[in-house]
Amino acid sequence: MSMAGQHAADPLLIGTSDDAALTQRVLRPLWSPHPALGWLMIPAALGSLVFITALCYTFVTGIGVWGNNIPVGWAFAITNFVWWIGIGHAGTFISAILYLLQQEWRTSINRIAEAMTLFAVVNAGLFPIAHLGRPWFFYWLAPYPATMELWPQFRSSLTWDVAAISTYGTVSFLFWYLGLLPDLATARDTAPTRLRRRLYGLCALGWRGAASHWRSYRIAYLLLAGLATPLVVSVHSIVSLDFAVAKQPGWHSTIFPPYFVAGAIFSGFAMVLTLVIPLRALLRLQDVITMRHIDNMAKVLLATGSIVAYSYLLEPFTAWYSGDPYERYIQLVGRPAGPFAWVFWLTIVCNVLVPQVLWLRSLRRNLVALLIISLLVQLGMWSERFVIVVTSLQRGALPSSWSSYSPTLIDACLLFGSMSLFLFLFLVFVRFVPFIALSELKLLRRKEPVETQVSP
Amino acid sequence: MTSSLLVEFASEEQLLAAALHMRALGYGDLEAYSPFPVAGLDAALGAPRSRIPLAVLIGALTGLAASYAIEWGATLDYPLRVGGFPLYSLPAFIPIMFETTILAGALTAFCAVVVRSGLLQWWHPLDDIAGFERSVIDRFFLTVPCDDPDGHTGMRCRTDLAACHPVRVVPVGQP
Repeated sequence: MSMAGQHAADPLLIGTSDDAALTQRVLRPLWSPHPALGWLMIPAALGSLVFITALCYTFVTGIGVWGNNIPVGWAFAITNFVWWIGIGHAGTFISAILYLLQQEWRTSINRIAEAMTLFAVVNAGLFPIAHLGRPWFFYWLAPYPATMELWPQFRSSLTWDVAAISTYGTVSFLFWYLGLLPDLATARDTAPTRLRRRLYGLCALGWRGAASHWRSYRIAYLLLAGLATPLVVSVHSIVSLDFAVAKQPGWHSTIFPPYFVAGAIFSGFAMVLTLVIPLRALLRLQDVITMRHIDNMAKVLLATGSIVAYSYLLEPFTAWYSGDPYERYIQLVGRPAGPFAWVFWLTIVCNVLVPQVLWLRSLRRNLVALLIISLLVQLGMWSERFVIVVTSLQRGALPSSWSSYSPTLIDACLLFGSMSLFLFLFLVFVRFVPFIALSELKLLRRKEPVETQVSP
Repeated sequence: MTSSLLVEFASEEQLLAAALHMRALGYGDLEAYSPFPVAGLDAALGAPRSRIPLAVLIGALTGLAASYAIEWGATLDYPLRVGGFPLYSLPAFIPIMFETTILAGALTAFCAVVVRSGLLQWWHPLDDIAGFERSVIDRFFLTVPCDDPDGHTGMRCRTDLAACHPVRVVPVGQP
């Protein structure tokens, strides 16, 4: 790998004497967990309880408990859905695209990012189902020979969305689980108690590291990466078609698919940084997740942030150039000076201005600054989706129908509750699952020059 | 009863060299165990070309065909003109056809690993050998089939293996 400027690249792995020591090192959080993780689980579990309560209340009462009403028929639920599914994209990007590009720095963080994807997709999937109004009929979305002789409308982008999200969730799970098999086997054979040995052994599906296992594994892993690569680009493209296919001002634009995909990877990498920076400090993973990983993720954040900024520039230009008065109004007046102008400007600050500071190497290596930037980016990406969903619906093509929107307490509970559920699932994952790809690290150890000193 | 010898090595280079050595001497049906995929081991063991890519291609194409049939079939079953689309609106069918192609391909790939590498076998005679668990931690193993591990053939096999610097050689029964 080439080294940029006068700075030598940081190592990807520091100071591991042999495979046995590395195994013990990486699996230690499973056998002797850090107490802080347990304490963090309490607020996360309470928040998840709030989420479940709010969800049940919505199911029992109906979606009238939310702030949305005609013309703003989509609001928090769809914003949250798009936000979560976007966050999920970094996992597949890291595990599939960076794998095909042979970027070895993905190794220490891919498992964490893939798990993050799964939990983000779980959250994302719940919102449209809750939004159905009668969520117990969600299976009507699937094509099956119903007694009513009705079929889903396959020409609708909302039906495409169902296919995209369910495929994405399934493929992400398979990819994650296949990669996990060798490490579950290692956990089985290093487990301190008989019960854990049995449980990890059950999940490892009888993996023994045979050459025939590895042969099938490597081919299937490569094929899954190849299949997941177009998938990751397609999923947020299809999500964007939920908007772009509609004639609503501010939605009906061909720029949406690439713009959404860039935004998705942008917010996803921000979430990986938000999770990895505290985890790395708490579990002392500085020798496995080095400054090189952090620096590279910051660079991806900068690159995708710049694509997002370019899209923000292009949207008003296209609106102006189209000559369509409604497009012009929403892009040039409705968003920057309308009822939610402050959310629009918050988006601009968080997504356009803030990531540009990452041109500075010193800030890419400042963990506190990066954590704050990553949180701001997520705030910005949520705001962006809110602006897209709500302002366009508020200021449609029929001015007599213009209205305002305000969320309710239930909306807020669902948003923050879903964050808690995400955190809870992530903490459970870190507690019980080998969260660093151990077998890949053993291979990496043999390729990369290993250094002994630990960077900050 | 056919059985085999389990040979333990300290490094992947020794395992690779031993696999090449034993195959050159005419031993077949060798199997190796390692904590990570060892480059060149498949060729050294004389593994046949994997048919998983073909299975995945067939699976993916089946997914493609199935969703095309469902989408077009549903349109014929309940013709509904909506949004100015013609009844046979292929471009609008493409997103779901793409997704099911990927879905079926990925499911095939995962199932192929389970079937082809004989997973779901939670117990194996090798598991009873103390120290074999290091095959997923830091040691490298080779099994050499051998009709009579403690007799004449076993002795010859052990002599052949001695040149490969094994840590130890243990007889194993077959399942």
